[in-house]
Amino acid sequence: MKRDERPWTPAALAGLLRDPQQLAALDLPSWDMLIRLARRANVLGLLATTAERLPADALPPCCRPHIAAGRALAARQARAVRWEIECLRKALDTIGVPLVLLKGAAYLAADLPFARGRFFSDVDILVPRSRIDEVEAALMRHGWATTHHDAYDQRYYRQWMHELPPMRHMRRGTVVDVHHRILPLTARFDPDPVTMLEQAVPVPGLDGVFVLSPADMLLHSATHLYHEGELPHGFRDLLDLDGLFRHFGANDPDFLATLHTRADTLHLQAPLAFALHQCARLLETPGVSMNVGRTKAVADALYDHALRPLHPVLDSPGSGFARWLLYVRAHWLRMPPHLLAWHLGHKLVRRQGQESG
Amino acid sequence: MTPAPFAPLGTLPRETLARWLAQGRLGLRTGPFTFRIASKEAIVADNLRLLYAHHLVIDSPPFADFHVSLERPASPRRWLRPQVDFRLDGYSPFLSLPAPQAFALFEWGMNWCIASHAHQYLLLHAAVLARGDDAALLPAPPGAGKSTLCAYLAHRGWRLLSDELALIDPANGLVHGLARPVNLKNAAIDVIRDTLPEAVLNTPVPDTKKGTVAHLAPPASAVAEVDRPARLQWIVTPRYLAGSALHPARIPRPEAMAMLIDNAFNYDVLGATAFTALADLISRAPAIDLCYERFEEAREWFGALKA
Amino acid sequence: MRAPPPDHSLIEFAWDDGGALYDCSSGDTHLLDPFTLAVLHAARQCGPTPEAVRDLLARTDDTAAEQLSRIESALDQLTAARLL
Repeated sequence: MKRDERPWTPAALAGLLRDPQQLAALDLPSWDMLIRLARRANVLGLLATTAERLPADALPPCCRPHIAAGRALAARQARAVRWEIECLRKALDTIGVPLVLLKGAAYLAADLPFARGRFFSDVDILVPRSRIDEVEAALMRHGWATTHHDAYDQRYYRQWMHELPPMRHMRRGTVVDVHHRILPLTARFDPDPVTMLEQAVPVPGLDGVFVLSPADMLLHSATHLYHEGELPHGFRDLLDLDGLFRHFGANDPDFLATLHTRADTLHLQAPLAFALHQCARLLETPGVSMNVGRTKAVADALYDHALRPLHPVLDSPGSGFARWLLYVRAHWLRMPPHLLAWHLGHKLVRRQGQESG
Repeated sequence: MTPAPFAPLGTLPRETLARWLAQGRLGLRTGPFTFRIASKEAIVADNLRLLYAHHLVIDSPPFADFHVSLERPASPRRWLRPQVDFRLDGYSPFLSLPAPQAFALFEWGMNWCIASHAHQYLLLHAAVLARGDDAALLPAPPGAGKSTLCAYLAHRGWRLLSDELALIDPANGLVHGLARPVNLKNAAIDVIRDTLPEAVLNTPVPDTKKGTVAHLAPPASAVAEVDRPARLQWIVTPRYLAGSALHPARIPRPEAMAMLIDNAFNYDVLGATAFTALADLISRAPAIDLCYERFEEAREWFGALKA
Repeated sequence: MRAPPPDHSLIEFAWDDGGALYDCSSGDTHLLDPFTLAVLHAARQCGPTPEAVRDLLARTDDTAAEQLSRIESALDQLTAARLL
């Protein structure tokens, strides 16, 4: 039997995840590879959601169970996150703080079409920095508890990070990340979360629940991909940016102009340029163009490794090293160098300690 | 139903099987799943020949549900004390194990693939045996003698669907089989060897995380009928109790429901669908706690069950 | 298979030896013994006050009259579990 010869570029994979007609044209060896890649890239739910738009007999019988499994996982995610949003809203309501959702939970609440079936693990929320202690206390009264009891971790989060240590609900086991800033306190640039909160928009049908404005939502996503060190979900996060560009661009012809103005105000031009560049280069996102001047070829070569699905058939020599270099780069962006050495050193010591223990 | 290129594994020449495995070409069919397997470990090839002789295999299937490999990790230890990794598409869910445990690791790895991905089914940790189209579900905590009794009954008139995993289709409540080898541990190995002289067992592997383990080949007739699903009619939790007379006791339904939820791998994934499937099952199938000491008595008791 | 009713967030199975309820919003499963199940059914008819539940249960259960504290604790559990 001939092997699958399709070039599995990020753009090709993204097209299949978005467009049911492309799925309908796949032969069996391509389905075989697609399901493997989708599982490893944690996008089986997106694949299942798109595949469900086809009549059932358009899929080969051996693929249907995998699509059903992906749908079940996506449905569980949506159900659990909706309930979590409701519980968080009730908790924050007691202190009069509105619930502003970020990232995956925001896409789900706002029902953005490109994110239907998207998997994610934690719910991220943004609260005013001045209310952070009250928020923590309110969540604790409603069953959440801090996850990091190690004194080093507590100090690390409270001194240097842009969020509280993750809080886990004691009964449900779900985790909420409470952000009070966009980037760590030590980051070289410091986008202003206050106007992001002010410009947050209510979610239709969910009283008391807000998401960032379209431009802020995209800038927030871009900023995190740009600053993130570990990119196990690099491909999924790139898909988010592509989806946000496509979705908001289709609804608003001035979206890109609004985005640039907003990026100037928030000093997020670099992450925006990065997002535009990688989306144009890797996903052929319509309406956005590469920005050769600002992004270097070396960085592109590194991101070629990091922003595609993790899978042995796609890995080449250097993939692991490239991911490590990006990890170091991201920490360098987020922290002054002496902190970086201490943090990496501490992680290393603990990891060794765990292995020998 | 099965396409023509499938053939029983036992009909492959030894060298062909070794080559297909080494080149990652072997497609192994077990119940509704096709595993594509890559391994250069002789112990894997030998055990497949012994324990999967009647299962259907194919060269390089165009589609496989799971692409798995058993390979030696690149580490200096490979020269001193060889280790082996189980991987699904490059991802390893377990720590490396000593190479002599490669086949046991393969079996556990296959269980993991199904239990953590096949959400088209409600997945329970339980053995399933059938008589015609009526099936008994045997959930039990480890060490209760579930596998031993399952191995025995599978050679005394009951059809083995599975020793570890019940695959329940939530759309119709039917249970699907795998007809894979039965995992026996420690004292159960000798008990089965003494009780079932005709049973095919591999060489026991000592010092695994579960003690000494051996695998018993599923009877050929069970493999031949693996694609025949059955309807669950009874839930029986067998408990081996030395010195005990046979003692069946009805388990109240809420308690039985709690036990099944505890034994489900994906209850929370399927949510309301899983709840309804289990509650429907509990409504129609009696749940019985069965203390036994002698196989023969247990066999008679199972034989008297009425659908 | 029964699909969950779209407008009601509880699926219920009642047996002679107890009951099982699934809350479609929270994903919680509740398993009830026969007494608590009877209290739930009674409270749905007459409201969640212990005396009313006792009087309703007493029509079919001779022992209900002496079980006020047990009824109270069952009502508390059912309320905490958001079943009432």
